[in-house]
Amino acid sequence: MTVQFTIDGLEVKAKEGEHLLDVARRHGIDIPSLCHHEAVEPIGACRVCLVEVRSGQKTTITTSCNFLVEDGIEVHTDTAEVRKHRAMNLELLLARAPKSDVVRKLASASGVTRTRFEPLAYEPLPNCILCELCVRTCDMLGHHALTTVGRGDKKRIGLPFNKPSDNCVGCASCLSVCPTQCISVKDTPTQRAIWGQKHDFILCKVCGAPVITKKHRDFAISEKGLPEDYYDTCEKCKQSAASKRFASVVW
Amino acid sequence: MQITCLQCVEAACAKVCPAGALVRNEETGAIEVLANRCVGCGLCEAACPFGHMHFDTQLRLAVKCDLCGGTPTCAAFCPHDALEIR
Ligand code: SF4
Ligand code: SF4
Repeated sequence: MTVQFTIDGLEVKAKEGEHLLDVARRHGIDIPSLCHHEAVEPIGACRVCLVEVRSGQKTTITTSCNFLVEDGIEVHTDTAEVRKHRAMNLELLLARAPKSDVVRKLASASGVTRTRFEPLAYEPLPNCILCELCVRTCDMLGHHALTTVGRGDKKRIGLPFNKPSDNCVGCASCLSVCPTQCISVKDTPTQRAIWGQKHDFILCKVCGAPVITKKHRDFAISEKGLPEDYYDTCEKCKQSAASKRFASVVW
Repeated sequence: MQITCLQCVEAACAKVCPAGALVRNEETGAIEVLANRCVGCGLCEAACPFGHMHFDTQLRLAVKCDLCGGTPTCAAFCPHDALEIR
């Protein structure tokens, strides 16, 4: 079913079950966010994507990423109330991620350059805003390696019980999606260190360059039913082999 | 000889992508990266049999030839007309 409503005065149409943030962005209306990613379900964790929704007599301030669109609502993305609450949330986030460029930029766009809150940053993820995008992504990928540990001020992201986990394949997707890029990944020519564990790379059978981790390959091969030798050559060596093969066909 | 993405009918990159981030643009025929869906796992780069899927280590996203939206700059640029788009 189609629903119809307005965002900042613009008439928009969307499908029932769609989230407000996605609909707004599709219509070129920019709502800032940190923890939203289209590949995973939204949870409204960072609380930066606030909007004002008016429905009949009722006006609410809500996160737009996980708000299901409704017929006839009136959405405002840039009211004084929205700006006030967003600025407060960014001030809180700044206490967690004082060194994150992304957070600092967003905060200063909201007029927040310093925070009155006690610093909450913790090692080894000094700029973690606890948005759980890493956890959600790892789950979506089928690895289920990450979790939240502890509660309240002591809440942390990590491997369950902070113990080495067989589930982590060392794909580093958690770092790729992390809004503050605070997850440590260290690659050597033969190994990747992540979440306190070391993963061996498959080395290109031609030149010895790292391809992906062995555990990541094993997972992908069994998941997709691929042949055993699927990931045994690096990008560059496959490129030059393909060029030679094509040249021999053309000439 | 230089080759580029073949926009394969059964594209290995799209097949292995766990996030549904590689989809064909029906207008241009190109397989495109939906950057907002890519989770930067790197499986596609490793999967392309021709080595034409790339992983941007700065952006931590997959990048590939998208036929420049239908008018490939490489073909227009080649001084010897060795590349043409049909
Ligand atoms: S490590 Fe990054 S993605 Fe994970 S909760 Fe912290 S900020 Fe979010
Ligand atoms: S590197 Fe490990 S924790 Fe991170 S997304 Fe991959 S499997 Fe999950």
